[in-house]
Amino acid sequence: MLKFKPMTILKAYILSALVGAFILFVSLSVIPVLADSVTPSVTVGNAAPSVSAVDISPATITLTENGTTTITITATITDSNGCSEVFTGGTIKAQLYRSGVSGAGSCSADPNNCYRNITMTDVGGTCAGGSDTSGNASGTVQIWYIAEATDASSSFSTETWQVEVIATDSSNASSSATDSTPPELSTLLALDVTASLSYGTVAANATSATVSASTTNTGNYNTLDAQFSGVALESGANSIAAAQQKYSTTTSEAYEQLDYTLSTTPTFRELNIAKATATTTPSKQGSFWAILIPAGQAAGTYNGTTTITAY
Amino acid sequence: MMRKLLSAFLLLFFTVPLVTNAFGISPPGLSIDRLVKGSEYEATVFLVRQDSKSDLGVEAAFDFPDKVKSWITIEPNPLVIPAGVQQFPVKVRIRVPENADFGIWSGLITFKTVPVNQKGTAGQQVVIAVGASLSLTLTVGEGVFADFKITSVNILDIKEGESPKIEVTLENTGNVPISPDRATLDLFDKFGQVRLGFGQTENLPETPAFKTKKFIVEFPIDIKLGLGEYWAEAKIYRGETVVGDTKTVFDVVEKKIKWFVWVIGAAILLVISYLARSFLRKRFRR
Repeated sequence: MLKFKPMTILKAYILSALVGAFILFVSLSVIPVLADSVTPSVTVGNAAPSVSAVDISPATITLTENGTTTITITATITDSNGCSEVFTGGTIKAQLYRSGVSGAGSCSADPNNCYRNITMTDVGGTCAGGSDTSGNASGTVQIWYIAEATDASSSFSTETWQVEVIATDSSNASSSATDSTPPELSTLLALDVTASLSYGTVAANATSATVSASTTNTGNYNTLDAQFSGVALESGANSIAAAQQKYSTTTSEAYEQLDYTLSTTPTFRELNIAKATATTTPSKQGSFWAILIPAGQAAGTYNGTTTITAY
Repeated sequence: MMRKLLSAFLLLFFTVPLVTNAFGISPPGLSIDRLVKGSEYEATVFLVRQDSKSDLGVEAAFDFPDKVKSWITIEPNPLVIPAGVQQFPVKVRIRVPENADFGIWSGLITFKTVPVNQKGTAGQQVVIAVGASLSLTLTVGEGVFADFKITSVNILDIKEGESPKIEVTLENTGNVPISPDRATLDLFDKFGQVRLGFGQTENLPETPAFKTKKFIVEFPIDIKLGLGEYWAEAKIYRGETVVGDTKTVFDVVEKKIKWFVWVIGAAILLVISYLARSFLRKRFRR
């Protein structure tokens, strides 16, 4: 039988205790360190937003004479980091322009062909925030009556009106898109004419002083002309034929020198009133009128209508 | 003597009339060069004014060769632009008879405003009425022109269980009915990166000659779409050419049960509970 001395047994206990303590120390200190080193870690990168479904409304743009017309721009904005990155933390801007204008979406602001910095915002809370990645944006712009036409009869018949929508997120990443079915802008033929002519009191067998009326091109038609016609001036049963009135479309002269006799049939006259290029500077031209009262014409207050039709 | 003195002077007395004296038309010209015998063409032009405080009467005068005068009508007729309206749509219709000759004809429809204080009414004045002309050129030939353009493609939100669908607007610019050859739809996940499915439809509706039509195209796809956002790319083809396309996000939304379904359901439950109660009472009595 194998025998151990009491001292040897004590040493074995102490050694075992030391080994145990060492293992315990390693367990408590090293293993947690190893566990820390395998914890998953990721940095979420920023994705640029995207712009889609860009649309200009109405599908064909019709202008309002001598004023502005509202154009609506819509788009869908998507951001993988959450749509609020754009709708709340970023910006959505649009530029509306004639497609062939110099610089396209980077064109210089001009009421004829380039409308810039149109602000677009969320429509009806479609970007719910949180994990919602997309929302619909909308913005409006007022375009002036001098905006250049792109329809078949215009100088820019191969072009359209286009919009560039730019979405920028809170990290300043951006992207843009345009309308895949951009609209035409129709030609507007329109005029604004002085409301009435006043010849004053005129004796029989005499001519009136020459009075003027103003015709303004209030559309985007390049060279406005007109047709002139009138009816007899009447006072009860008495009348003065329309042909007693004469007019000129160039210079103010005495009755005898005026160029044209007013006809009851619409008659074409070349005015060549150019399209205005600035909303503060109307493009207009005068016309000059006088009347010869026939001898023996009965006294009275005579009235009638003269018609000027844009052509 | 007194009478002679009176007749020596005419009082032409005028005041500033309260009339709208600005007026226009857009577009001012239509050139229709694809008409054939029996063609029906329709276009919309707008009568335009800035001041819209009151109603404005407008007279239309037709100046065309006798041969074609009866082909052309406008609607509405007579014309009154209501207060508050700045752009008033007028439909211009051309109906070419079956026995029409080939040829090219031109003419004008002149729209003239009717002044509020016209001569002979209480206002003592001569007014200048304004108007605007619509120039029409009609060409009647015998060729067949098949042409169209897609003016919009929209991917629509759908309800749970429905197939993806798009709304297409087609303008037929030819003189025969026409439809695109096919439409396709690629379906992607909410990030637009994983392709989930593909749908194709060849049975697209026809649009009559010279007309614009809006229609819905559905794409049955063999996967069930849960609630949420998806990307889709839709394309419209003429032959192998893409003539209209869009790529955007759409939503699959919850299918809500309508209120009358709830009412009917509640009524059925009431009837069943009543019948059950009657049945149990009878049985209990026995």
